[in-house]
This record gives sequence, structure tokens and C-alpha cells, in this order.
Amino acid sequence: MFKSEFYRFSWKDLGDIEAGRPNLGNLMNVAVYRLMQYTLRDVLNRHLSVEKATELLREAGKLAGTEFCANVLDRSLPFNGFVADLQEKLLSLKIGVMRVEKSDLGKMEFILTVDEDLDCSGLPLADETVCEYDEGFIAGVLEAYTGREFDAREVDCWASGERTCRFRVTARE
Amino acid sequence: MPDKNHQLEIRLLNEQLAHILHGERGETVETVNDLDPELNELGETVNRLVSAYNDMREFILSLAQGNLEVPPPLHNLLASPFKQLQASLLHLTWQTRQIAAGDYSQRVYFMGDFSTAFNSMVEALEEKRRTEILLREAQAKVKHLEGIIPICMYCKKIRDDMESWQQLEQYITEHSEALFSHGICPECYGKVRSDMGNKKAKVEATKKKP
Repeated sequence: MFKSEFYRFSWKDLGDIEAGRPNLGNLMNVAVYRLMQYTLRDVLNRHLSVEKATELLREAGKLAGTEFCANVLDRSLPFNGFVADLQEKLLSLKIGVMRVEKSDLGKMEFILTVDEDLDCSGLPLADETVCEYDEGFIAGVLEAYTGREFDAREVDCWASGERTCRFRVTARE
Repeated sequence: MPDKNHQLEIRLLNEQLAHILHGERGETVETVNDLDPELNELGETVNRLVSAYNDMREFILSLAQGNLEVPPPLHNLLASPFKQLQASLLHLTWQTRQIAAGDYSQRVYFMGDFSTAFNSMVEALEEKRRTEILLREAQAKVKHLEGIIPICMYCKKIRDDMESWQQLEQYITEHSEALFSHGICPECYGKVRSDMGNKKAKVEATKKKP
């Protein structure tokens, strides 16, 4: 199934974690998550290209965001309630502390920050942004909620020395 | 023995550090000394510090004046905590606007005592709004009887807007949320009982007549 070229991700593929890990449970160390993400990036960079690797990570993030919205968030809420729900879920799942700095519902433009980000907070400073997976994730969540396509771009990142990750999110024309 | 240029460059660099310590803008100093590469290196480091400090200073001064939209200096580690502060202030500004627009679903997290105070305020405002809505709904349900009501001084019927005379109970039931439960007061009870006794006596007297 997973190794078929026809495989497409489905939320149920995450499995029954309680049944599968009765002793170790549902939690693990953040470093292990990063170990997977950055070793994957290493291999993708080497075998493809930095640009392609970045694109793939963003696309995977978008798929994750879409599925997360469909399976975890309450899409029936009005926008403000939806944002509060997203913020609360990201917090309770310890993904990060999301805050809204600006929102223009007319133009569908937002500026969001994520503190204590799962992907990057505490990384060595590298003078570059690294949260492409998050970019895709945010765009995916909003697309699944609104039905419109979004672009999310990280303009500040912990890794570039900004301490907080800031994303500029815009709906496509 | 250091040459004059060497001494001058060190003095200039020292002056820039003194400016920074006084909270003033510094100036970059050109240090090109063929004889002392270490001085050149020190000069470059001081210049980087001066540039980063100047950018940070402009940024924090704007922020202190309430200009939250000021673009943060990029890749400036000296300014990092201020950038985090700016992000928090922008978020709080957004939160406040949301509350002003009637959105009480947002909460502030991880800003110490401020989070507790702010969230308590939002919850109190939300509770107040809920109470106001309930009150408004209750008021909408209650019908008021106001003004002068024309009533018959003998039979106590009331004249309605359609010039028709209605029983008191019917009128009040139709114009308010009140309902009637019929009983009898002691005075009327005595009167009715007495009337009934009289009627009974009359009937018996009629029966006794041949």
C-alpha cells in the first residue's frame, strides 16, 4: 500500500497509536522529529537540488495542512472562531504558539507569527529561513477552510536570527 | 611602538564604543593598517557592532514612539528580543481590534501576567455580552401594558383598539404574558354562599306550597 505508486495519504494511515504504542504512548522528543526532517532535507538536497527539495517540503507541508484542517479543525466555524480553534490546536499539540499580527478578510491577506516553532526554534543561526514545510502547512490549512488557493511565505525565521517565525499569507487571484 | 595612524584608529574605534555606551549613534571607522592585521580585524568587528547597534537603535526608538509597523532590521541579532516584542505588540493590537469588533474567541498565550489579565478581561466582556443578549431576549418576550386603558366602571370590561369590549381577563391575557387562575376571595365566597342559601330557601318554600 505505502509502496505503491498509486498511494495517496489518508488520515487513517497515521494508525492507531494508542494500540500500537501502549507503553511508549503518543509523545516523543522534538529532536527526533527534527532528525527526520533535516536528514530528509539533506538527502533531498543531494539527490535532487536545493530548489526541488524546498519545493517538495513545501508541497508535503501543504498536504499535511489540508489533512490537518479536514481532520482536526472545525471548518464550520466562522473565520475568527476558526483562527482561535487553529491556535488552540497548534498549542495543545505543541506544534507552536501561533499569533495573528494582521488580518484583512476582504483581501484575504494575513501576517502570522509562530513562536516556539516545532521545525526551527533553537536551530543554529544560518542567515536563512528554513520553514518551508510550515509555509505549505499554513497555506494548506487556509485552502481547506476557504476553498481558495493561498501562498504563505516566511519572512522572518528563528534560523535567520529573528527569534520568531513570521509568515505573510496571501490568497491567489 | 605604534605609529600615529595606529593610535588614531584605536582612538576612533574607542570613541564609537563610547557613543554606543551613551546610547548614541556610532559611525563606522575605516581601518586599513598594513602593519597591523589584528587592528583591521578589530575595526571590522567594531564597525559591524556599530551598524547593528544603529539599526537596532532606530528600530527600538520607533517602536517606543508607538510606530509598531516599523520594519525590523533583518539578520540583526542585537535586535532579536525587540523583534519578538514587536511581534507580541502587533498581536495584541490585532487582538484588541478583534475585541472591538465583537470577536471574543481569541486568547493570549505565554505573555506572563498580561495573558491572565487580558484573557480575564475578554472572558468578562464575553459574559457581559451573553447577559445583555439574554436580557434583550427576555425584554422582547415581555409585553407591556402602558397608558390609559378604558374600562367600564360597572362590568369592568375593557375597550380594545378595535372598539370592542372584552372581559378583563381576556384583555390582559392578550396584551401581556400574564395568565389567570380563577379562585374566589373570602368576601365573595361569603356573598355567594349567602345568595345560594337564599335561593335554596326560596326553592324549599315553593316546594312546601300545596
